[in-house]
Formats: sequence, structure tokens, C-alpha cells
Amino acid sequence: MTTTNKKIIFTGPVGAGKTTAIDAISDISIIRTDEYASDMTKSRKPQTTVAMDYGLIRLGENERVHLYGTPGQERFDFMWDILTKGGIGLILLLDNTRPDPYRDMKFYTNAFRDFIQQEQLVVGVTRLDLQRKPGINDYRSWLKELSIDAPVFEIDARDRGDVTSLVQALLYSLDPGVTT
Amino acid sequence: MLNSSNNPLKVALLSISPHNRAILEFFFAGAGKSIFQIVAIKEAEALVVDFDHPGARQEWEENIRISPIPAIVLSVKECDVENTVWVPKPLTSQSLVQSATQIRQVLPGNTHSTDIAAGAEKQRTASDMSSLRELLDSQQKDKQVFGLSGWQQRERVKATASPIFAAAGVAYEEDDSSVSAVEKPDDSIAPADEQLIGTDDVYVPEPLSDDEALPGDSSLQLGQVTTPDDSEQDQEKQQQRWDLLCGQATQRVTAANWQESTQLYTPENYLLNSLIDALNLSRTSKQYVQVILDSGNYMLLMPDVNLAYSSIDLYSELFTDVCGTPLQGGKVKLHLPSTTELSELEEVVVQDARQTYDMEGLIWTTSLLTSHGRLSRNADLSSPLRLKSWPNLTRLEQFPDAMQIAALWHQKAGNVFDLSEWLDVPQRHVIAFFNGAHTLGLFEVNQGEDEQEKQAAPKKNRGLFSRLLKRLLGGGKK
Ligand SMILES: Nc1nc2c(ncn2[C@@H]2O[C@H](COP(=O)(O)OP(=O)(O)OP(=O)(O)O)[C@@H](O)[C@H]2O)c(=O)[nH]1
Ligand SMILES: [Mg+2]
Repeated sequence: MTTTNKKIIFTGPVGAGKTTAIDAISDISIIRTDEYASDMTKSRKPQTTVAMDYGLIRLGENERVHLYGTPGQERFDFMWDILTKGGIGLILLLDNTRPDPYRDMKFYTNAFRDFIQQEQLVVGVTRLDLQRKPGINDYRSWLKELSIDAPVFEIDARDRGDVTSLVQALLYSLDPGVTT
Repeated sequence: MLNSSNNPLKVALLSISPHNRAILEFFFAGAGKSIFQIVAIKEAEALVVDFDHPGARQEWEENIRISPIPAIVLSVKECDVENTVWVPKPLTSQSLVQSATQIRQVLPGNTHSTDIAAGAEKQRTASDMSSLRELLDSQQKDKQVFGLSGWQQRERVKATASPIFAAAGVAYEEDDSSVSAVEKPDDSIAPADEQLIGTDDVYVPEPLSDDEALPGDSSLQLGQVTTPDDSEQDQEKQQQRWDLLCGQATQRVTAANWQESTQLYTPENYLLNSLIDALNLSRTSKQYVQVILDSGNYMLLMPDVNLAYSSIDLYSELFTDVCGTPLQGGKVKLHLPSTTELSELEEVVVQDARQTYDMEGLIWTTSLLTSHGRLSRNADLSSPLRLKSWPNLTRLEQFPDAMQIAALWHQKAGNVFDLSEWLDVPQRHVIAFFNGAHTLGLFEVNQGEDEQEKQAAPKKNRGLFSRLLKRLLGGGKK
């Protein structure tokens, strides 16, 4: 019997909430590879993901949706294509308290450009509870500037409902005819 | 020594950062399984070495002095060293696979060995740093935290107990294997698009055996579940609220008969109109604007933080009444508070934080309670509209089908009648969505073409998507 496997990728800068978001919807305790951060990132958070996060949603016996989180300390030699192969969509989490979220958006949408063109992007902005500026409307105009069509939601990665909304927006964008 | 292209190439990894090691191992264990096999140095047919990693080059030199086997060299800068294949960064699976082929050609026993360097030259076109260069440059300037090579290098400096952090920065900048090499890109490098290889083969590693998978329901954390409570009472309440937001009409109106419908309203007659004026005023003037009703109740729009305060609870009957009752002229005024007034208002807002809402959220709810599933008498519904941006649905009051409506309207231009037909959802939901998003200025008259291909392709996954949604929305395992 064959198993159907789909893959959703979570990406975004250090501390944006990728590990937390995957954990919120994964069936399994996620396999994470958080390590204590080096000096560079310590000021922002004590732990960071150095390799991939992995979570899983099982749908019956033969269907699995795999959830991958990229490491936040993005390195120029990261193998983007390996991670995205077989993916149905990309969830980009941006931290509103970082110095320049626009540049973060530009960086990640550029790095995943081909994938976004072929599949679908959804953007979740975290930590708006800590800092209200910029606002969602700014993110909308930035996406327009980058000629990208994607839903943008304010989310708290700790809130399962919020993370679910991102996945919902992703699936409906891929196929608005899906029913529940 | 095995040298058949049917067997994986046995490679040993020399020192490399934990991050890059994890990525390579991920590849070697999955998609690259039939091509590479990681073994101990003694058994290796070739080495894999990251020349950008501190000390790696020396380690490689020592190794080949003992046993001169070929190496795959990963580095940013071009590497033209005998008996090596250069794989430029950023790495791609394709370039790694190619490097294995090239290594095989020089292994003893191969009859048609070719010049490795020639092959490497070809590979260079498959790589590009331009997409990342801009960011790297800026990071070097302001030391943002994307990592770069500073990460492991600072670790190393720490390990050797350098007492001054500033020294780490110097060491990092002076190290000629660091990212500074990226600053002078090679002109022959191809556009970044070529880095990512579009393939259809789904590679999914299976890191879990079935026994270790599900931790059992003891891990349930009810606090995380935000899906509506199943209790009948709650469902009933929920339905009542939806009725207020979307009305209860069950009959569909059409482009031909909507103007004769009784389900019409005139937005200009309601509080909504003053709120929209206030929103525009506050956005253009960047000032706080107060909307004061003759009862003394008020709303305060705070554009700098995208918040709005309402002295009436949005979920109260009073607010529904205020929204739904046509106002006589002069009953609402807009006011720009003075500095003293503002500090008083701020105090109120802080004390009554529960009635502080997302600014768009307040407008959205007001718009829905006012329209109550009706179309605006003055609406121009003849030209097809496209949703130019999605509403921030996680912070707006929800009603059924909103996500689906947003997704389709974002991809395909149409009017409310088209949408209700295409989606086969209650028309009142489409009208409610239209009213809310229109008030927020999220529609545009259609210009571009629709994203037709996207709509045609994805049906194949519909069943799975539907099961996934049911699982997530139903609360599922968590
Ligand atoms: N206040 C607040 N905290 C959040 C929000 N989203 C996530 N967090 C917290 O932010 C911290 C960082 O989240 P992680 O999930 O570790 O972030 P990450 O993207 O995996 O980070 P890296 O692995 O370093 O790239 C956690 O403590 C989360 O609980 C949010 O919206 N608001
Ligand atoms: Mg993480």
C-alpha cells in the first residue's frame, strides 16, 4: 500500500516562532535540534534551531503531512532546494520586533523565489503583541512591492488556532474548492 | 574499492559546522542515499571538506598526505586544486550529485577519466550568490543575526577562551575564508533562479518509526485548542452572532434582480460612515481621532499602533443597536483630542484594555453589524472586483467560509453573485465578506489576468487537503 506524503515548510528569521508553530499543530512531539545560541543570537533568545525541525500530521493510515522548519540562523550555503523538494507550500514567519522585517521578508521570499512561484506562500507576522509597528497593512504593501501575492496574518506562534489559520489559508489558496 | 556507479560513493566528512553537517546528513540519508554513503575515513573513496570551515583545509592536507584520495570541496570561493571537485555555495542537490559523478571518473579503475576542473567549470554556472549578497552585505554592516559564518567562528573563539568579544569580530573579519569573499561576485555566475531545481519527486525522510511516533493523548494541552467549543449552548451562541454579522437570508439575489431586493441598506446613514471618515482622517493626519456619539459613548482610533478603543463592548447588544440604527444628522462628531485630552484617554484605554481592538477589527465588525448581510444600495456591482490583499482574518471576527471566499476572490475577479455561484456557499457569507473587506479598502477593479493555472492544477490534492483541514479545525490530536 502506498503512502501519500506532503510537505509544508516553515521558514523565517531567528526566533520568529517556527519551532513553536510546528509544535502547535504536529501530532508527534517534534524532533528539534535546538542548541544554546552563540553570542550572536543570545541577546534575543537562549535557544535556536541549528538543523531542521520536524513535525508530522497523520491522516489515517496512508497519508502524512510532514512539517519542516528551517534553521533560523540562515546561512548562505543552506540547501534550499533539498528542503523544498516535494513541498506544497511555504509558511514564512516574520518577527515584528526585529530591526528590519521588510528586509527579512525580502531575503526569504528571494531565497525561495522559485518555490513560491510554483507553489504557495503564506505569511504570518509574530510578536505584534510586543510591538504594534509596523502593522499588517505595511506587510501588505511590502508584498506588493515585491510583486508577491500572498495572505498575511498576524499570528502568535503559540496559538494553535492562529497556526491553523495559516495552514487553512495555504490550502484554500492552493485549491479554493476544498471542503470541510 | 568499489567503483561502480550502481553503488553509492563512500565519502568521509571532514570537520564542518554542526549546521552544515546536519544538512548534508539529511541529504545523504534521503534524496542522496543512492549516491553517497557516509563512512569512516579509512573506508572512504573520497573526502567531503568545507574549505570555509576554520581548520578544515589543514585537516584535508594532513589526510591526503597519508592517503591521497580525491575530495569534494565545498566553498564560496572557487577552488582550483588538484584531485578535487569544487562545489560552490550555496549548495544544491544537483551540484552534489554531479560532483559524485566527477569523482567517480577519477577513481582508480575508471576507464574514461576526464578533467575534473573542466567539470567544475560547468558547475559554476549553476550557482549564484547574488540573491543573498545584498543581505550579507547589509548584515556585515549592522550585524544582524542571520548567522553567516560568524556563528561557528565566534564559537571557536569562545572555546579558546578569548576574553574580549571584540577580538572575535576581528578574527572573523580577517579570516580570508569568511563571507567577505562573497563581496566580489564572479560575473559568469548565473541568475539565482537556477539554484533551485524544480522537480516533482517527493522526497520525504522518515525519521520516525511507528512506535516512537504518537506520544499519546496525555500530551493534550487543551489551552492550545482554540476551535469553538462543541457544547450546544456555545454553538447556538455562535450561530446567533453569525446571524447578526451575515443576516439570515437564504435566497440568492442575482445581478439582474438585486436592486429590487429588500435586502439593501445605505451605509451613509449609519455610524459606519463616520468611522470610515475617521479612519481616513487618522491615517492621513497620523493623529488619534475620536468618534463621539450623542450618548457620550465614543471610539478612539490610534493609527500609530493600529488599535482602536470603543467605550461600548463590540459584542454587546448596545453596540449591535448603535450600528444598526440609522443616525440623524449631527449625532456623531469627529474630534481630534488635545494633548491633555489624549493623556486622559490613554489612561482610560489602559484601564479598559479589554475594549481595545485591532483597528481593522473594529471597522470590520461595525461594517458587518451594519450591513447585516445586505448589499449597499449604492454599490457598483457591475464590474468584476479582485481582492487585492487578504483581510487579517486571524484578528477579525470570523464567520463561516471567509477563508475560502478570500482565497478565491484573491485569485479570480468577480462580483458577489459570481463568487456565491463559484463557491456554492451561502450568499450571505459572500456578501458579508464583501462588505467587510470593501470597507477596509481591500478590493480593486480587476486589471491583471487571473491565476488560471493555479486553479486548474491542484484538484488532485483536494481529498487530502479536506482531511487535513477537518483534522486541524476539529481540534484533532492536540
Ligand atoms: N510574545 C510572543 N512570543 C512569541 C510569539 N510567537 C512565538 N513566540 C515565542 O518566541 C520564542 C521563539 O520561538 P521559536 O519557535 O523558538 O522560534 P524559531 O523561529 O524556531 O527560532 P530559531 O530556531 O532560532 O530560528 C518562543 O519562546 C515562543 O514562545 C508571539 O507572537 N508573541
Ligand atoms: Mg527553532
